Amino acid sequence: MKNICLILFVLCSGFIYSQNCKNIFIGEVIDFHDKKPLINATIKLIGTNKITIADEKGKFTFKDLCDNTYTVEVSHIGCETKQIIITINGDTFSKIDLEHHAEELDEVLVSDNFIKKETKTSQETVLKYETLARYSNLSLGDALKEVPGVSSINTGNTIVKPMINGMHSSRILILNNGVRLQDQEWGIEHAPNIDINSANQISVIKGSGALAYGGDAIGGVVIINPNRIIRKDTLYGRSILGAQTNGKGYNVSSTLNKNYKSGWFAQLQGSYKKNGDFKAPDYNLTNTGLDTKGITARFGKNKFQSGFEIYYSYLNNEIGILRSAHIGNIKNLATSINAPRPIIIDDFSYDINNPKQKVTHHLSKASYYKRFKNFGKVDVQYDYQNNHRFEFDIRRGGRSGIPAIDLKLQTHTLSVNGKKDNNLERKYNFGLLARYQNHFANPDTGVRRLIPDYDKYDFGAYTTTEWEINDNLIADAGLRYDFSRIDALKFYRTSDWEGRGYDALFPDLVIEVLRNQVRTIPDLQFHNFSGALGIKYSFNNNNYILGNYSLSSRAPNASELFSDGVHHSAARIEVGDLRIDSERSNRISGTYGYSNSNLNLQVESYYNKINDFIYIVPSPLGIVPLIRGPFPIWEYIQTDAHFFGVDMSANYQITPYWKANHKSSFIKAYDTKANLPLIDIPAFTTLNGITYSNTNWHNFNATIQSEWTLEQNEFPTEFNYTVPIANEDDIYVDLSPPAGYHLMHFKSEITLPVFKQASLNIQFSVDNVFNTNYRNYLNRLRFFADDIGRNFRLQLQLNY
Amino acid sequence: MKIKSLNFKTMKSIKFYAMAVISIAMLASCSKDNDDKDTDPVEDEEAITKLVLTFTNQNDAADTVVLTWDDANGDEVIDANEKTIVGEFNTGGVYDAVLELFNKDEDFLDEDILANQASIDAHFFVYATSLEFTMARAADDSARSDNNKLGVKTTWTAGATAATGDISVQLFHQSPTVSDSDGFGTAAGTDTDIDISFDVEIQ
Repeated sequence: MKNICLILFVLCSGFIYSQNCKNIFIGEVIDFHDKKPLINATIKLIGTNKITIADEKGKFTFKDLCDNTYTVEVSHIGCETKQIIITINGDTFSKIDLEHHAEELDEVLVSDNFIKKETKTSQETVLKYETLARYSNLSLGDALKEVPGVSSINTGNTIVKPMINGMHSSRILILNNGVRLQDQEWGIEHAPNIDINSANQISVIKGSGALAYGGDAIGGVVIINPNRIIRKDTLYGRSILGAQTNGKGYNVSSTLNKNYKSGWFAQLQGSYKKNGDFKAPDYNLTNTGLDTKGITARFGKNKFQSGFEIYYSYLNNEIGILRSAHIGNIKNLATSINAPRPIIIDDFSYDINNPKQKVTHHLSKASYYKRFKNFGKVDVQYDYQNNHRFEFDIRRGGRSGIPAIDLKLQTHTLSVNGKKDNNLERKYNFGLLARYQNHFANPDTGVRRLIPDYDKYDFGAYTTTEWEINDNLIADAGLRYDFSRIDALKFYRTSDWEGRGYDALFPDLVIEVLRNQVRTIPDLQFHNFSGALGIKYSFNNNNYILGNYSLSSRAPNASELFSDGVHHSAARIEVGDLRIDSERSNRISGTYGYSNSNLNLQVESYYNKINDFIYIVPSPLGIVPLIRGPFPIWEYIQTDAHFFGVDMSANYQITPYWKANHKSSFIKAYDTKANLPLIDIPAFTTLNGITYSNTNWHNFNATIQSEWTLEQNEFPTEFNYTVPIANEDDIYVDLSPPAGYHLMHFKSEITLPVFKQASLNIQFSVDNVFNTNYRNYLNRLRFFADDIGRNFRLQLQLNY
Repeated sequence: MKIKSLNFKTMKSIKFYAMAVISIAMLASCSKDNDDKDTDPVEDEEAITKLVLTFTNQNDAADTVVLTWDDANGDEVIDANEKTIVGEFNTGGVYDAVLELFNKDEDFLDEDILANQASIDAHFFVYATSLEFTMARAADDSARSDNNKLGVKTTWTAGATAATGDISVQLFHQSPTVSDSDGFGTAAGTDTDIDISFDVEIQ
């Protein structure tokens, strides 16, 4: 019936306009990005039987057309089919552009297994959703340990900071959907504010090769991306429900996506996690509960020629800190280290008491892009982040409800990025960035400000190029300049101001002298240059090598400059230094990769020399007697350091059902001026596993994994203290690394079809199968308690 | 074509709204929180800036020993010149001791420790000495719910031998187990708020 109507309509319109039907329509089909002709494009006039093919110049001709409007459909292999409306009025000429290289131009999702790397020549590892989903109940820092060479520095089991090749905090740059995370990352117990459930793919880039994102990523870059947009009419989602025995934890997470063929898209994601006190093999870890809520929403339009996105994410974390980790002074630390069990052990509870952290992070962004013919793409982005951190401490006199730390960091960033890719063999990227940041320390805490109020201004500019020299060789290079200025207001104790000699060095900074304190306005400026150079050479389909050199420079963070106060769980006074300048890293790296149908092997090596490396060490001032008891002073200094190491990963398919995997990383790091090993460097770690998988049994697979961490035998023993006690024996405080350990883990999964277009993935796993007692050198609570014991986990994931 | 132009318009209005939101956000947040003149230094509410331990001979009100630490420069450090010791103990003397704590002008002991039973229960003073003293907690000393006495008011009996040595005071916060059985007191736990000693003499 419908067809008959359509035919009638076509006939009628033909009849009406039949007076002039001798027009010629000449067209030309060209490639959008570089204006080359698209040979053999198929051109159809919808509603007629006219069809033709473009010649070697991309040209085509239709004859005998009436004055009318026609819908022209143009298609070409590898291109998105396009319909346009052409008005014929006499002989007509029209140029039609199609994009033939959308795949190379990173605009479309080619397949579910498509991995989009951010860089060509860097040491980059991509974690896909299937891997990330296993960490739904854990954190970003836990998931990133899938990458060889990535470890973490922890405060307990829920505050997990990623560490790339021995470096963490401000030396790692984290991007969440194109927004550089600004969440007071200078603090060692400030975990990144990312909900792992909002990530669809994560790239970990070692070193600072990705200059577009910043020039100060001395350790590396972590790029977290949400779902890529599919241009078709579809509604899909997934939900995860998980539970674990240790900590009696549970987690739920759901994501819903709506996409349209027109390019419009919307996504909503939410997650909630909770656990109570974790348990070490022999006792409860009192007050280690966690409560996390996260929401992400985004919508926009994604077309080849232009598009925009509005994105918002919210994360709220409430994290208990082991009760026994709150200590009074350095003698108490010695008592804790020597005690076989933590001082305070209570029955299991979901309650999160002091000491605890409560952090909220809002991230919003608006971005717009447009693609220009025979040039490339330009995008503009504005983002705003609001990070509010409360730390509640053990206090008295009804003050437990008042935070001891209340810091609010707000960041606005405006950036423009251009990509010139009309020549796919030689691409250029360039961009500009302006950022304003305000830090506010609420004085209502009744505790001296740990970090002062400040305004920070950043400006950055970069250019990079990528050159496909031939089929086997790709080279890239980049340059970046960053300016930053910190304008702070800080109160120094007069005794400290004079004790550090600042009164002679910076007399102009003092704007008011108060009783026992001075009001100062440090205004610091930093100019930094960074650069990168890399090649990738493929010998054949199986072998490739990467070589990379990068220079990166990092301005000191607020903690390194201004820290001033007692750090309770470390039982030390931490002092920043106004004189600290930028540190500069020269990193060279080489990678060898091999792959065939059975074996996948990758060996990454690096040498990183850092001049003016900033770190905190025991001060020559030694131990001072506070009214609370003796405390050592630690202060930030600059030295020269070098880091080197090798990371290796291998997967071997032994038989169609059995597969072995191996990961290991080896690293050494030294302060070359003081000739000391650096503190907090991961020991040699190796992970080895064997997996049985059978696709006939509903994609069943099971893995037994061994995790072996050696004892770190290189520790600056000079950092241990001897505390003299009047009329008693000295107290020796031994901070040396704990013994190495070996853990076994088990994991298995099965995927069942449940109803039409939906599947249910069930995962069962056991961590620390043998309930081994161990302490991890890089867990800052190792002085107080063992790490967590055996944990059974069950996770259901419904994809629909 | 119609659909296209509609999208374009929608695009335009979305861009407009986005820009509007951005400008408002920019304006709102650029108001400086840290106006240099309006910001005041934070005085630590829980700092103990002065400690006075006064011993008075039960038989001779004029025979006193007063141990004082006064944090004159406000840095929480026990500098040598901030400690004063006035008087000596007499052999065999029996002394009533009273401890006082201050946060600047505020009576820290009254406000933060003796304020209510829960606060008393959260604290415990432990004393130690290298000299020959016996010690007991006074009858009118505040008692914790676990029947241990807090240790603000104590009684000290000097031995028969003259010597120089020290007396130390520790304040434990939220100690899991305490005992006052030997008068000086013992406490488990790793959270001390006061840890100070004074050089004294029995003559």
